[in-house]
Amino acid sequence: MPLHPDELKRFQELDDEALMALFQQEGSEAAYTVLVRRYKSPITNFLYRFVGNYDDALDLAQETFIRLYRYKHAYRSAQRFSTWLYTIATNVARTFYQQRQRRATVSFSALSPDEEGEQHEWEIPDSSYMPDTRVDSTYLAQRIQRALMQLPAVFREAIVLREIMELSYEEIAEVMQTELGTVKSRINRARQRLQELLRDVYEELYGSATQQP
Amino acid sequence: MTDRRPTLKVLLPSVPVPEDFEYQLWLRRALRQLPIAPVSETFEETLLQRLRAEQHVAAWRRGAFLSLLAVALVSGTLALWRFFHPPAPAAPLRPIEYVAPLVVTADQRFTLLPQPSHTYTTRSVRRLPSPTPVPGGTVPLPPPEE
Repeated sequence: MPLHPDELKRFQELDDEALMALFQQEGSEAAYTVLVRRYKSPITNFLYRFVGNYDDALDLAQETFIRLYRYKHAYRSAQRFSTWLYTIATNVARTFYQQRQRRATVSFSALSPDEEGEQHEWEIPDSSYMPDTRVDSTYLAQRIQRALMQLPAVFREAIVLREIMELSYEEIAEVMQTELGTVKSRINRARQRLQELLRDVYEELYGSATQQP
Repeated sequence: MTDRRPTLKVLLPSVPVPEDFEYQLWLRRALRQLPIAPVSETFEETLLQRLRAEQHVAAWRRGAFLSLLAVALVSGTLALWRFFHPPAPAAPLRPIEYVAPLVVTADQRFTLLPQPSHTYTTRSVRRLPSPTPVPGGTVPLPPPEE
């Protein structure tokens, strides 16, 4: 998507919402290109942490930007652009993940609401998952990614948006289209689960994870 | 004068810190320090190709949809027309219609010939006279020569 340098400079000074308005109302390809350049890295990163495979993440990131192009008229100017884009990416990732998990997932949702009354599918952890060394080259990064992949999808989604993408709780609630309380609960439980899964790594590095009396 | 007011610090209990506070802190820091997935240089180019392909397919789909819509509209209109203008019922069900007798006026070209004024009767029929022998009039013919 080649752009004239002057045009690029002019568009780069605009914020996301202004660019989106230009793209939405005037069909400005330049505005779209600047948005793609601005968000391709965060979106790819979010998707990689969610699906755990670099090639899939790149493909899904492209799918996200195609949907942005296709459904530009669905954007409301009162909405924050980044939140809207993460919502698209989350939906893309969920669809992909559900298709991949369908063969290995057993649904007990009707039988097992959790203590918050929230029903979700119990997923069989993918023990065969191998971290992608093109991204995670260190042992620590590989262990963390493996632990992330062992979380249920809704927990992983929440913890990645909070701890890696650094979104606020309110933004996460908007992205995940759920209540603020549910988001906090999911993040909390995801942290607890990660602590269980990664305790041995910490202890290898620093000794006991709990303070000695 | 001594200050007998207890300090706030004494009144409020100290907030407990979880035993694995440092571990939790390390974990959150480690999550934020995970390497960033690089984006390939061909990302935008590939995206552009996919967008163009998508637009091409969308144009075909739109064309096909419009064609189908046109066919549906035409057939729908025909069906409505047919509904409001049903065909004439078949012959056995048709009500008996009164047909006025056909009156043919006389045509001068076809006037009848005048009827004969005299009618023939058997008495007026002339008969051939009966043959009467003529005296000496009969001479036999010679026999034919062989």
